[in-house]
Amino acid sequence: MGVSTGPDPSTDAALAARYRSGDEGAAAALVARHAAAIGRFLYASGAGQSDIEDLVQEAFYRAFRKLEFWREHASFRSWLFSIAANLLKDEYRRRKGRTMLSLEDRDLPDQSDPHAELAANEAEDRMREGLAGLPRLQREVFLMRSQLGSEYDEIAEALGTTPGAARVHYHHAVKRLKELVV
Amino acid sequence: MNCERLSDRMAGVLAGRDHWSREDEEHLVVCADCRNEWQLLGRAAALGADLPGLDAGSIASQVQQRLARTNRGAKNLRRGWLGIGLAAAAALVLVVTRPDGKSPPGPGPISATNLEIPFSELDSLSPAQLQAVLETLEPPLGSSSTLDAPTLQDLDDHQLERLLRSLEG
Repeated sequence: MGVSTGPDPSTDAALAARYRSGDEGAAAALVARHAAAIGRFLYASGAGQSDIEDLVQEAFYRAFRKLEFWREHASFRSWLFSIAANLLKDEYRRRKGRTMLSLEDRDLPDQSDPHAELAANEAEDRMREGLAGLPRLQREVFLMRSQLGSEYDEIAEALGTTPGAARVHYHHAVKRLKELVV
Repeated sequence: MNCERLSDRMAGVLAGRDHWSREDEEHLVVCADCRNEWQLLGRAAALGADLPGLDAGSIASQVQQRLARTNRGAKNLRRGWLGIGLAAAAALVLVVTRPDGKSPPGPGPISATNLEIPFSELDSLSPAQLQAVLETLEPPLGSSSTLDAPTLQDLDDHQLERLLRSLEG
């Protein structure tokens, strides 16, 4: 029985290589794999729900244009997170500092238990407000820890910092969020 | 129990790479600091979980259309620069090549010093000497047909590329 010894064709690195050699289907597979996570990261970072699809599209557009800069020490998703974070920074500048945080475009509470849903929404709003109020690196490190489960060395690689600095940013973020949210 | 060590492991547990031991769980019950941090991470991990699903197929298709447009734009820009380069090259060829396609006569190739005309010295020449100088001058450009002059179309791709590179420095 033959055993395949080639690289796994389904890894992000293999899909990226296929895209570079002209396989557009590989790009679609990468989008399908990571779009939802990027959307959640953008939402957690303060993007309005109605803006998320456009922002995700822009993040992937930037990513594919700069694909040769992805170093595989960081996961493709971490790298996408860093691109999405830069995108939000640009968007924030474009809006001349006006916050992007949008809390009003959420669906109305479920009629079956409106009080519980309202309380959950309020908790979620507090969390998003707390995150939106953090300095950028603190927010990004904290979200990479919580949403990606990334270790500090991978975060450092994606954000262009050191693991020690990433750890410090994380602990500052936790301290601040405990004051604001818990 | 070391709170910092527990903190370092929280991301791994959330991602499913690690899990709490019984001792860890007991610590989380009694240590408010660790418990609060664990709750914060859990809440952040859940943010956006109930967002409406993104249409990945539509996103991928729009991204690919934009990339194709960008690539076409970049190609057109390169063609534009190539056109400018070729026009400059054509001008250069006309300047350094005689209209009949032959190199100018003389002891060697044209150099900047060869092109300098010592006007002040001409003042002291006699009419016969001036006539002799006039006879050595080339006829003006454009006084005969340029139809036989080599054009850029006569150059092959390799020669064109080399010319373009020399123009771009």
